Amino acid sequence: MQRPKDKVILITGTRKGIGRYLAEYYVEKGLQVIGCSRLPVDFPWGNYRHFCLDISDESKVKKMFAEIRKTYRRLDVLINNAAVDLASNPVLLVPYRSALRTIEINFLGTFLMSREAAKIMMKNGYGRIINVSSMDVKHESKGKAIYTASKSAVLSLTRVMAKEVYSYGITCNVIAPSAIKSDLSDAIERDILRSILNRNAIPTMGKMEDVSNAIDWLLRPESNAITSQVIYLGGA
Amino acid sequence: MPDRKKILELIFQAVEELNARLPEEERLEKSKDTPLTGKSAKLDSLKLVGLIVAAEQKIQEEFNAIITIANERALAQKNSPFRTVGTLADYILMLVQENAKA
Repeated sequence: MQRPKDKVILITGTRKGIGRYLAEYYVEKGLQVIGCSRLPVDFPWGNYRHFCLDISDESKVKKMFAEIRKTYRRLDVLINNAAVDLASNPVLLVPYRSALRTIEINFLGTFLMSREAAKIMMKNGYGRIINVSSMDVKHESKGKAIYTASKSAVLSLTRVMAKEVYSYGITCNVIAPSAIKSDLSDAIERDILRSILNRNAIPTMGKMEDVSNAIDWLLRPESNAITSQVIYLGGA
Repeated sequence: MPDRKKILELIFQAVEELNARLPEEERLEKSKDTPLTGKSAKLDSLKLVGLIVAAEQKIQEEFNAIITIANERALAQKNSPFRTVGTLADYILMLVQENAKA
């Protein structure tokens, strides 16, 4: 049986929020954790390695994966967590560049990371790709058109890719958390956030632990037949 | 220095790895004329992906060249570089040479 320290996990957007929580969580579990974000971090953890990059920059992403292949010779898990919402406005007031950057990071970044991760995973005949989406895909709230579209695209990408890579032992799933305290949720007015949460089966803010619990379940060896699925935390 | 012979050798190594996972009747011949796409090809699209990825990784290890074989140019070409092992080798050689100049 594989020991935790032999497992290599890559998490995007680890500088803060859910990404940082997950990085620390899996470091404590003893996994080899690789993280990335545009800005540097000062984590003191020994079994953590950080890359500074924009996940939508193809050449930098490819360089990072070349380094991962060289150093670790494997990649077991990819968690595509990094996301922005630079276009939180009614559609008629969304600047084109803001929409483009949101799509580039949330969707194209997820695509690039998944493509390159799968190339390493297929060699070992094992891999888990977990993409973080959003309850907004279900709620389709006003003012979130571009963000919601980018996260819907992540769902479609995941479901198609799952079919393409399953024969290589790779599963692809989506976790769509409820609102969890972060920069993204802090940017939403309290009344609006409350009305969105009221549309969930669980009308309160979600917890970081909800996310790690769902991911742990997907990472279990017994979960190898769970692929192309979307898990809405909070019951959206 | 990368040359066509060396690149063919690396593609043949990728073919060997692929063949090890295939039943005998589906195995590819290690020849520059072996078809990779089209009616006479033995590979389905999934196995072709596996071969291209393996070749890309071998190029990276051998020449320290980070290339993407299935790039926009490859997909836009009238004569696909994925027709045979030989045309794939020609295309990879061009990418590796461009990478060295960049």
